Parts: sequence; C-alpha cells; structure tokens
Amino acid sequence: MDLEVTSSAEKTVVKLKEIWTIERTGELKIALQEALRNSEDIVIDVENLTSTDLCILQLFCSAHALSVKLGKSFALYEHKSEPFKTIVRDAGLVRTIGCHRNPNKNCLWTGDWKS
Amino acid sequence: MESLKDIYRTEAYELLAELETSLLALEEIPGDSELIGRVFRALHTIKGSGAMAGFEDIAAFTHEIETVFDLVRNKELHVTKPLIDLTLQAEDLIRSMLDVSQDSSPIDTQRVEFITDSLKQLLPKTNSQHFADAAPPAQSEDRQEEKTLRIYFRPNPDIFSRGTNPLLLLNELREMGECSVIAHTEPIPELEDLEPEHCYLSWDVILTTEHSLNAIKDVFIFVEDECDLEIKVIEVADGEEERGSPKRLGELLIERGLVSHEDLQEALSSQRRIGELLVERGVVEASMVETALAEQRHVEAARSRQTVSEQTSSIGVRAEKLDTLVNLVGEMVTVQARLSQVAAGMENPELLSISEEVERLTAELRDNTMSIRMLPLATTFSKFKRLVRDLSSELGKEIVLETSGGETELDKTVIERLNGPLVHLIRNCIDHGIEAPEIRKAAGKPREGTVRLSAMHSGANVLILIEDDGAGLNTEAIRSKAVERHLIPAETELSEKEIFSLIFAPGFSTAGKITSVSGRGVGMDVVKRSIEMLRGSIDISSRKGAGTLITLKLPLTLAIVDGLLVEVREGRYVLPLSTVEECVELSREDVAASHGRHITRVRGEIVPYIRLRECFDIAGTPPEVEQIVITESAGGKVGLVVDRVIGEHQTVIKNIGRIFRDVDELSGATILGDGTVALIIDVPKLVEGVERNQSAIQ
Repeated sequence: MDLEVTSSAEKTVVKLKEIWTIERTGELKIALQEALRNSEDIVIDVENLTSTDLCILQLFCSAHALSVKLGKSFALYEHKSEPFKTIVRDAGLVRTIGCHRNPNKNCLWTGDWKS
Repeated sequence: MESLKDIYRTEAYELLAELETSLLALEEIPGDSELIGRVFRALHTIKGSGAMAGFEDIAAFTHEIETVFDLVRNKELHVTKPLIDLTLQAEDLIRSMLDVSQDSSPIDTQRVEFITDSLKQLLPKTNSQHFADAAPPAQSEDRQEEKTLRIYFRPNPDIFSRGTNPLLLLNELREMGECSVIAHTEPIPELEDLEPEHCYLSWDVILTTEHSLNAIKDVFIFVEDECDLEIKVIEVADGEEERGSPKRLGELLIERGLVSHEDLQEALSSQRRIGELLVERGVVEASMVETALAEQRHVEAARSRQTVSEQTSSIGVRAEKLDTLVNLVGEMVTVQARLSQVAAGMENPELLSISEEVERLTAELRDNTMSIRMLPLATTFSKFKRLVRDLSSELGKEIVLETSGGETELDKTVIERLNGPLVHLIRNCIDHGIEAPEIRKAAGKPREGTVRLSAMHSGANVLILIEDDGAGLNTEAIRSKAVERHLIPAETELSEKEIFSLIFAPGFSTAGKITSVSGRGVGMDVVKRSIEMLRGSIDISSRKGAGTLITLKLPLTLAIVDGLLVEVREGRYVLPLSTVEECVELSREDVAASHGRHITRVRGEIVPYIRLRECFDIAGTPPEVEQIVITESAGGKVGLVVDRVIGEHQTVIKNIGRIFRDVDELSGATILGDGTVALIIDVPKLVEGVERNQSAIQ
C-alpha cells in the first residue's frame, strides 16, 4: 500500500510511499480531510515518497491552512525523501519566515531542506 | 605569446577538473539540479570554446555528451551510475584529445565511437534520434552585461492539465545564472475549496544573468499568452553608474507598494527583525519578504563580484617566469644581507638608513613573490575523489573520501611534488586500511569506510592528515615481516612507534598478495624519501581496529627559509628557525655537573644535547661559555651546542654539490652577506644519525 493512515490517541500519521502526482490528488484530498476531521495532530510521512509534483505540494499547503483555522497541528515528518526535498527547493517553497496566519508562526516549508 | 590553442588547453583542463568534481558529487546526489547545471555548463564551455579555438573534434564529441545532459537537465533522463561512468570516461578521452593535440598524434576514434554509442544506449528510444540529429547550437550566444532581474510569473490555473510543468520553466531560468525562486502560496485556498488540479501558485524569480531579456522571455514562449509575466531590471552591473548601498528591506517593500511608510516606522520602532515583524503583524505576506530578501542578496552579491573582479583582475604568467623571479629575489636577499653587513661596519648613518630601507623593501618583495607561488590544496584534493571512486570500485569496497582545509596554501613546487606521495598513501588506505564491506559489517562498523584528507597551517609548516577508519596497523604482522625480511633481529625489542616506522623500510610490505593497487613494497619508503626531499616529515599513529592517521609536515616554501645563524670555530651553520625553541648558555661548570653526560636542565626539564663540534669533527677548544640551541623535532627536545649564536638570517637555499649528496645531516647551503658559505643543517636527520650511532655503539 502506498497510502497508510495510522491513528492513535495522540496523532494521525498519513504515510505516503512511492509515486504521488496529479492523478491521485482527489484521493489524497479525501485522506487529508478525514485526518483533519478525526485528529488534533496530523503528521505527513514523506520519507519513502519517490516522486511527486506541485499539485501534491499545494494540497499540503492547503491542508496546513485548514489546520491553522481549526487550531490543529499539521506537520511533515522530520525525515523527508531526497526527491521530496528537491521538489520543495526547486519550487521555491523554502521559507525562513513562518506564515502570519498561523498563531505559532510555523510553516510547512521552514527549516532545513538541504540534501 | 600564448596562442588561442594554448589558452584553450589551459582552460579546458580546468573545466575538465570542474566536470569531474561535479560528476562525482552528482553520483552522490543524482537529482541535484545545481550540479546538473554545473556539468552542463562545463561541457557547454568546453564545446563552445573548442570550436572557436579550432578543436573541432573535441567540440563535436563534447556536443554529444552535452546533448545527453540537456535531457538530464530537462528531467527526460535520470542520472545513473552507467551515465556517470561513461561521462567520466568521456572526460578522460577529452583530456587525452587535448594531450595528443600538442604532438599531433592521432585521436582514438574507436574510443570516441564507443563512448558515443554507449551514451545512445542509455537514451530513451524517442530521444536517440534527437541525439543523432542534434545540431550544435550557435556559438555566439545572446550574452550581455550582467544584470539582476525580478521576474513575476503567474501561470494559468489550468497549466497542469495542459501538460506543462512550471518547474521546468523555473529550472530553465536557473540555468541562465544565479537564481532565487520564491513561490507565493497565499492564494492557495483551504482544503474544502481547493481544486486539486488547479495551479494556485505564482512565483517571483530573482535572476542575476548575462542573458538578454529576449532570451529570458523565450523561456516562457509556450505559455506567454496564458500567464502573467513581468520582467523588471533591478540592477545593471555596468561599472560606471554611481551606486548607493543596496536598498534596505523596508525600502524595497515600500517601493513595491507592499507596505506603507507608517507600517514601516511602526515596525522599526521595535528592536526585532523587520521582515519577521511585518509578517507577524499581517502587513505583508512571508513570501513577499522572502522575495525582497532574495533581491537584496542578489544585488549585494552582484556588486561584490564586480568589485572583486575589478580589484583582482588577473593575468596568467608562465611558471618558468615565476621561477626566474623567485631566483632573482633570492639573489637580491643575499646581496641585501651583504649590504646590511657592510653598512653596519662603516658607521655611516646615511648608508645605514638606506641599508635598512633596502632591507625592509627586500623583505616585502620576498614575501610578495613567495605569495604568488602559493596555491590552494583544493585542486589536488579534488583529484583524489576520482582515485578513491575508481579504486574502491575495482577492489569491491565502499569508500567515501572526505576533505577539509582545501583552502590551505602551499608553494607550487611543494604541491606538484606532493601528488605522488599522496596517491601512494591514499591507495594504501584503500587497499590495506579499509576492510571489505562484509568484514566491516561483522566488526560492527558501517559498510562504507571513510578516508579523510585534511590540511591546516602549523607555524611555518602545513600539516596534511590522511586518516582512515579501517583495520589499523597490525604491529605483530609488521614485526614478523620485518624479521622475515632481515630488517631487524628476531630478539629486538621495539616500541609501537618504532614498529610503525618499519613500514618505511625499503622493500617492506605486509600485503598478502600483489595487486595493481599496492603490495610491491616500493611505496612507503619512496613516500618517506619524497617527503623528506621536500624538507618535510611523516608520522604514523594507528589503533588496531579503529584506523590509521598519517601526518605529513611540510614547509610552506622550498626557496627561502628563516634560519638561525650559528658559529662553530670559523664555520657558519644555519638552523631552520621553525625547529628552534630557544637558546641557553652552557658553561664549563654545567658540563662538569652532568658528569660527562650530554644533558642539561632547562627550567627543570632534562634536555639531551649534541655538540656540533664533535659531530662534524671540528678541531680546537670551545669557548668558556658555549650556547645550546634547543630544537624540537619528532623525538622531542634536543639541544645543539655551538660556539656562538649570531642571529636570525633569511636564508636563500642553494643546492649543495655532489660531494655532500650523501650527507643526510645537511639540507643545503646559503651564501652569507660577506660572500662566505653557511651549511643548512637538517635537524631531525642530524638527531636521527646521532641516535643511530649511539645505538650501534651500545
């Protein structure tokens, strides 16, 4: 399975493996909506993601914005795959300053994105 | 004057070195677009300049490889090990094409065809035709002066469904110069309202480039009717314009209408970083601040590059001319020393003042000339990445080379002569030091072994450290091999350090079998001799199972040494100042107090001494009070007893003749101010020789 959703009392981990691109954005949107509905703390695990595109990155950004509105936590798992880091860098998403809409001033794209 | 061909050759060799470094780095990070860009640019320049300089064969062959990397750049082909292998082979071939072009030897056309055909095999079917038909692009590109641009690009929301990937356009811009890309994520709606296949993103790109505006617009040629595109020049490096300091972040944000003066003043009244504060207050989006910061960085970098290029515009000088200059400066230093001596003896204040001025200028001239010969070690270090890669793969080992201190500079001659010994040492690390992956795994080590190559300054010397995390030296194996080879008697008791030093004995090798890499036992003694010929020393420390550390200590330069001039009877000698710690007196009473043993006490520490008078068999009676020059070498402190210490002396090293060739204790000679000759003493060798003689007597 290239999509695993594991829920515990503390958090929900959405694990994406292999290839996730534009063709599967609908499926991922539903999975993220469900996670945000059922959990206070959501972690997206992209450690084994081998290929992705801008559509998926937009989805993450959008889900993060919703989590801020709902007062929930939505973060990427600390270890990211190299292809994921590369596309984030190439897309110019890396941030040094967090988003003002977020009371914690955090953003999915701050931090170290070097290879 | 150098011909265009000579200039091209010099540049092409440098580009090939850059190509190799980038390829090896790319092998480790295959998706890195910056590295791909560097490979492409190196190939592109080799090809373009080659065609201009009349190297059509090189240009045609390089064009084939460039075509492949164009596909890689466009993400139509992945970087794989076979691709890296073939490109490295192509690099070797281009190098040999450059070599043979000097003596008009024929080019290895079979090899050219083999590599070209093999590259074609790596291509997807649809591209192999394109590969064959691709015509070399025009040589003269649309290049202008460097400028910094701000490009705003907002694609049509349907761009994804139309099959266009905006990332390819952004990467194309990256290829055109120094580029910062900032995506604006603010228009992305919340999850409920998001159309996943719509593109909500837009970008600000800050690009410092020499390409024309038309060339940049061409990047967007297929989407220009369906996107918002604004290109604004924010800085032109024309060198004549009166420029103030780069705009501050607040000024940039006001200029772009993103914040008002009032907002800015309010934010400035706080002591925090302006960008963070404005974002936190919701006055401006984070991505806008990122864009302004990138713009600021680009302008500053472009200006600093221009300043550096204006200040340090350089010219190429042939190495022989530099050698002649160094020799002439050497002669000048000698003549200046004579002048100082004569002036001091004449008691003429006017002459003395001129002499001191000449002395000051000569010292400056000497230091400047020497600095011209200094080169960073980085280029030498980078060559070894390939060596480690090829050898470890040949031996079925997994080894990574880590380097540090590449910016450390050494005299050009020292660097040139250092290459051979370093190759030997690194080969030994790979062959004897690092274990096979399975053995490492069984020993609880990572499968991948590490060889570390580092350099650092240490006084008037440079230390080069070669360290591996392999099996370490096996003292028992070394000892038994030395006994077997009759290098030591079986009953000899040796310290660990003495056992390690046996590996420098001629003909010594513990390798079970001879490989193409090492094991013939001709390496380490040659390494030691080579390092000593550079007036350097080599030291080994090792821990079984943990690894080995080899330390090379080398002088900064071979041409001139700061020395201490001493006298024994009428003879003058120079001791390299780098080995001298201090000078103390030795009276007849001191000698009597030590009951004939050659030892003295320096601040409570017992220091053995050697009498140069005895060492060189000089007749006559020493003065009542002699001088001990305390020196520090690998074995610790040792004093050298002389009649008189004359003082510091800038010593221009001259080779000594054949008669002294076998006298290890002397490393050269110098001509003094009065025209007499002083011998330069190799202190570690002198100490070693005395120790050897004493052991033989005992």
